[in-house]
Amino acid sequence: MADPFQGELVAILPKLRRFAATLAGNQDEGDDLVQEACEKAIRRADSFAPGTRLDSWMYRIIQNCHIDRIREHKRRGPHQGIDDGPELVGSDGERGMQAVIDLNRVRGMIDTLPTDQKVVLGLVSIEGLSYQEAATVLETPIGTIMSRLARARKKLHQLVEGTTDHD
Amino acid sequence: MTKKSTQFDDQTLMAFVDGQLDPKTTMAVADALEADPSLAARITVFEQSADAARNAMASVMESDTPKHLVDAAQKVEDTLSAHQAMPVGKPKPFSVVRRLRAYFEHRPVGLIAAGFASAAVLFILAGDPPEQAASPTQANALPAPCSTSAFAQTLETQLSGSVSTIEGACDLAVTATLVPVGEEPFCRVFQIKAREIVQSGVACRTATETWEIKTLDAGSGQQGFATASGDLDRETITSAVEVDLIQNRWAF
Repeated sequence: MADPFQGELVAILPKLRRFAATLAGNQDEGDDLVQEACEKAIRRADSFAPGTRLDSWMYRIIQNCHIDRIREHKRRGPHQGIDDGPELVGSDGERGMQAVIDLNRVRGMIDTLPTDQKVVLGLVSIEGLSYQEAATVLETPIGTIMSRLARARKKLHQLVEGTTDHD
Repeated sequence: MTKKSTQFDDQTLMAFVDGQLDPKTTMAVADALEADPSLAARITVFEQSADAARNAMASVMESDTPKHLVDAAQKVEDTLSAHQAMPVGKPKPFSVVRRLRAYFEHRPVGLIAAGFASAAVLFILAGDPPEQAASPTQANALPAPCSTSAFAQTLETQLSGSVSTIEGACDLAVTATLVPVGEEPFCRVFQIKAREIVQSGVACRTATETWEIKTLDAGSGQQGFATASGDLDRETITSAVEVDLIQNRWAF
């Protein structure tokens, strides 16, 4: 019998890594989140209902892992944490230095958004989910999704414009 | 006549940028955009912010995926495949009981209220509120066009927080699942919309594995949900437990 999931999760790993990096603020922490989410997915495989979208299921687990980490971070105190560093290393080698600096700056701005806004921004504006799909992933009313997303985008625009104005 | 810029709120403009408005509203915004240049500035906020976010994170997609993550993902695939291959329908009582116990150790507060709020939002988005009272219906009976079997099937399988259109052109939103108390069965809070009338109610699972409506308001266009929930003093289960319950056909 063919493996019904063969290659399906591996194929969406880049998207999961991007979402996790958006939440974590840097790629290394994002990859740790993905690793943790995979381990959690294995433990919770019995809760995967047939017909569920695998990407939606994984997005939700990653988000939950991220929130758990934030709680743990707050409990432990303000030492090294996932939201401390906005630096995100990527393969920007072909881009100009200034472009890399600009992109890193925007990543840092995204990282300053409240977690709930960052999650919705990641799912909708970066991963391309519809509002309804994001509402399903987060088990949150679509109206809440839209208000969080609007706030996130207005704030991000303010930050980017503010930076541009002062450069 | 086109609407003025101020007549579109931020969320509508954002949804316009994201291509998630219905055709009629899309046309209305597009018309207003031609007539009102100030609208363009507001729309730009949502266009540029989305572009900036996408561009900022694009490099992650271009980087190589570490091998340990590929290995981890393959293990997940293998595990899911193994579970998929298991016979379905067999209750896994210990798993669910464990989750229920975990739930009771960390009881969320106010989730029922949140559930009702979510149902309200779902229906507000789904259409205009009813303008007139429903005609008198039999107590706790579904509105005439809605299929009873489809209603039961949806309560049996649908996760809370989502809406389905069931046979009879009825929209059914399952809002929450209530924690059973003592020997009581599982009950689910729902809203059903038929012919523009929205009714709120609670249905409980019977010993014969169907769903019996316990309360159903008159659907008179009321905005509150007191009628359906007034006598309830039960908390809602978490989504993880709900997934288990549905998968195990409500056995625990």
